[in-house]
Amino acid sequence: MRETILSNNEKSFVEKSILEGLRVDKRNLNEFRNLGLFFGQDVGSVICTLGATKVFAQVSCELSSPRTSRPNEGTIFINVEMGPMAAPHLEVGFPLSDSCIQINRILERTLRESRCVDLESLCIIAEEKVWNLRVDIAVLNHEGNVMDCSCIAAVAALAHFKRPDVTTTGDGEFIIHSPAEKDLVPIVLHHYPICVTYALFDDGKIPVADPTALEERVSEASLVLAVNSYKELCCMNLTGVSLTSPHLILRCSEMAAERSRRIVEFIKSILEEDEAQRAKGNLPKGFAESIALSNLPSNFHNEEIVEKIEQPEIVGIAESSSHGETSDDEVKIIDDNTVTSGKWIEVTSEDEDSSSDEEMPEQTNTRTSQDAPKTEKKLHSNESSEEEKTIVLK
Amino acid sequence: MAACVGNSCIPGETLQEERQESSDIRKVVLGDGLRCNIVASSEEHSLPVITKNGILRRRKPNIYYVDSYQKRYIPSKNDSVIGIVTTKTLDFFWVDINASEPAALSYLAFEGATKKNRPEINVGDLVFCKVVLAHPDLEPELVCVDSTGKKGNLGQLNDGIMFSCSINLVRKVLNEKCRLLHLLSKETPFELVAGINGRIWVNSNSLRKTILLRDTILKAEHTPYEEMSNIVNDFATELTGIP
Amino acid sequence: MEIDEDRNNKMRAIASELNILTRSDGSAIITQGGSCCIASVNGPLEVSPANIDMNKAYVEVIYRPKCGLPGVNERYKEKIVKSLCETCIITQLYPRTQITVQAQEMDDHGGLLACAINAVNLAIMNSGLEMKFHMAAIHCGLDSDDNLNIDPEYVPKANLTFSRIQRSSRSQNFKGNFTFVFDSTKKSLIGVNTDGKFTIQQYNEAQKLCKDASRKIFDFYREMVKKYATVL
Repeated sequence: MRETILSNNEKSFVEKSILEGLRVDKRNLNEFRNLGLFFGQDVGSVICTLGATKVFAQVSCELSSPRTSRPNEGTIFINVEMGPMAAPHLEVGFPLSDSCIQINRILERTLRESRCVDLESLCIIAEEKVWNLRVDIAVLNHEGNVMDCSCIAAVAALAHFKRPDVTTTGDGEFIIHSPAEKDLVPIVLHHYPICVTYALFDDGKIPVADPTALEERVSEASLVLAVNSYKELCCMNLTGVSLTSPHLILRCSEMAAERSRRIVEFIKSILEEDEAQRAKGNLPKGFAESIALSNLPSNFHNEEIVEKIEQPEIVGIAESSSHGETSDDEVKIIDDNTVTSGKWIEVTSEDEDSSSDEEMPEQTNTRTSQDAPKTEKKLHSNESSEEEKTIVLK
Repeated sequence: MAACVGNSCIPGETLQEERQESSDIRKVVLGDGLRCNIVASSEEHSLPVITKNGILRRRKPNIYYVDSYQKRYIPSKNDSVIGIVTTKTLDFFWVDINASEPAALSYLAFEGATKKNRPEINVGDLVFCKVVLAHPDLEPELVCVDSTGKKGNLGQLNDGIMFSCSINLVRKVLNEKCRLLHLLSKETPFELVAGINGRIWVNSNSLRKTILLRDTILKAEHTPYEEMSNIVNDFATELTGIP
Repeated sequence: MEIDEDRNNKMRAIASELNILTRSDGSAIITQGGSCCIASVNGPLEVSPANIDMNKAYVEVIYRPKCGLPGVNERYKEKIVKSLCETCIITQLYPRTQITVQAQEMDDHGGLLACAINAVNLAIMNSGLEMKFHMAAIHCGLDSDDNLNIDPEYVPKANLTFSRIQRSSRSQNFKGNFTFVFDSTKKSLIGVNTDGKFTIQQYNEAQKLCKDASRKIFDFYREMVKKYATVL
């Protein structure tokens, strides 16, 4: 089935209201929807709700042989699936839908390439046996921003998961202990990367946090920033065609960092609560009951984080002379070639079309400081091209 | 098993009791959720069988139907629906009406339209129209004129916002017992079109007001009729300060 | 045979919520004891030319495991659910259309197929598709002492873990497993799935027990209809 066509009325209404700082669901432009996390009875199973968007994640593990290139590391595999349950026009099976592949790739980059999971601790015998982690994410309801929701679900499920303990006896033998013999071992997570999505409107001038399905369809481009609670940018992804400026990306990453910090706190508090309940022997009640709670707004207060991040004042956004220096001071771009999988986004300055073949991000940055700061860069991204770099915000 | 009027009913139950009660009436009209001869059986074949879950209702004198929850629209003749134009072909607009297939809307089914004078409607535009042909084996057909060739309330919808909701909410809003629209119109002037296919369009003189209207109407789904004035009061308080 | 008040013959507690997914035409989540399943129904929708049927709706069923890729087991369950859906929905009323049903496992503590069928029934109920009757599925396990257990809960030996190695052994503490499906009008058998070793006598006895137990599920369905009808 094809997706219902977007009506011109909806499109122009959303565009007009965004210009006035209004959103169809009465939120502010940088306000997020309510977040809920519910753990299942098994370890590593979680439902994450972001407004009406619902995602189910389950982590599982099994033994396998390691990759030859990394003989002393376990592996992690991520699988996102969106079927007709998520939205009637989506289909399961091959060929996978573009949006599904995109979410899968961004999550892989966020969780695997940022090395947040300590894969070395998943090794049992180097070059022979390692644990293979698998994160299965089933999108239950697609009401926009499945990206953030599945990322939070995946991180929470990984933090919640426990694997059986293993003792090696030397000479290549090992014993897998059942839960009765030895307590289960949690997965070591170095940091919690959280994806924060912004939809870009008005020639890339207005970022809108946590877009709904309608806003996602109307927007020109979307910017996904994965930031951990230490303010480290783990992954950045820009899709769509829009004008945008480096200041906007910086501004968004500042806000994303704050959002990420709060979410990580929230995940940790919910995990602690769950841990305490389990220690007492109270398994969580069935999902049906927790889902019922999430439908009632009055019961939602203990689970929610309503956020209103004021736009942070970044020195130099308005001041043209100081801008270049500040951005140079604040941003250090590390060109991480090892993780590059896509093409660089072709950066074209509006008045400098001749130099459009520039590809190095360092040069882009320098040029920004030379040009008048108001000059906007047009980011053309082919549908498949993705950008990979690590920006450390100091 | 027999179902009673006013009570919940489940598929497979029969309309036995009611039939006896209204035996003096020669004809019984079966509405939504009631069918005859669905299950082949010797002793009960003449009795109507319930096919939907909900509350069995009776409208005087002898119309029976099941009040059930539904989101997907199944076309039925004379329904007023809101559609989105998806494609244009030589003679027809193909319109998405939230049903299983697009409906046909002829270029000539507009007021004053001729072969040369075609209506100016583009792909993605909203049209409010009437279903004139609905049959499970055929594509539904729509018109934007009444039998006298006048457009009346039908036609293209400009500006405003359209949103999807359950068909029950549309029925509720249109119900005479529901004073929501009446109460809202006392607070502020606005335009509203309710398509029975689960789509509502609202427009007013400010964007913020339209957003609030949409929100209030969606809230009405789980609000009993008596409490409608409460959500309208909430609307009025939020409205203050908007020109 | 009547149901004794023995623990072995008691059904687990059932809880359910309808209409929890905004994008699906009908949806339901159900927990039976520790097992949990979510189902969604969409339809009637536009059908692809390959599956078009001029006489009735094409029913597509997707069954997803909790983790890992769907395999032969899931395909088999899809087939069972599909034939049951075609029985209980009046598909002749929706020719040249498609009805899509998706069931997703959420928690597995035994009797998951029965749980999934009940979830699908509730989702169809919520979608407003016309039905001939309701269907209720009940799981029954035959333990090593030849006792029949109605709707048994899988009791984990220690703190729960989730590895795919353990997954397959979940319902294996019984030597025989039965899942019976009954319709709501005549309480007749409309579907059955068995595995393991058992005698014909044990099978008949299990069917009788499950038929009696199905009443509880039908009562539950009626409660759900009542609860959601008054909300509207």
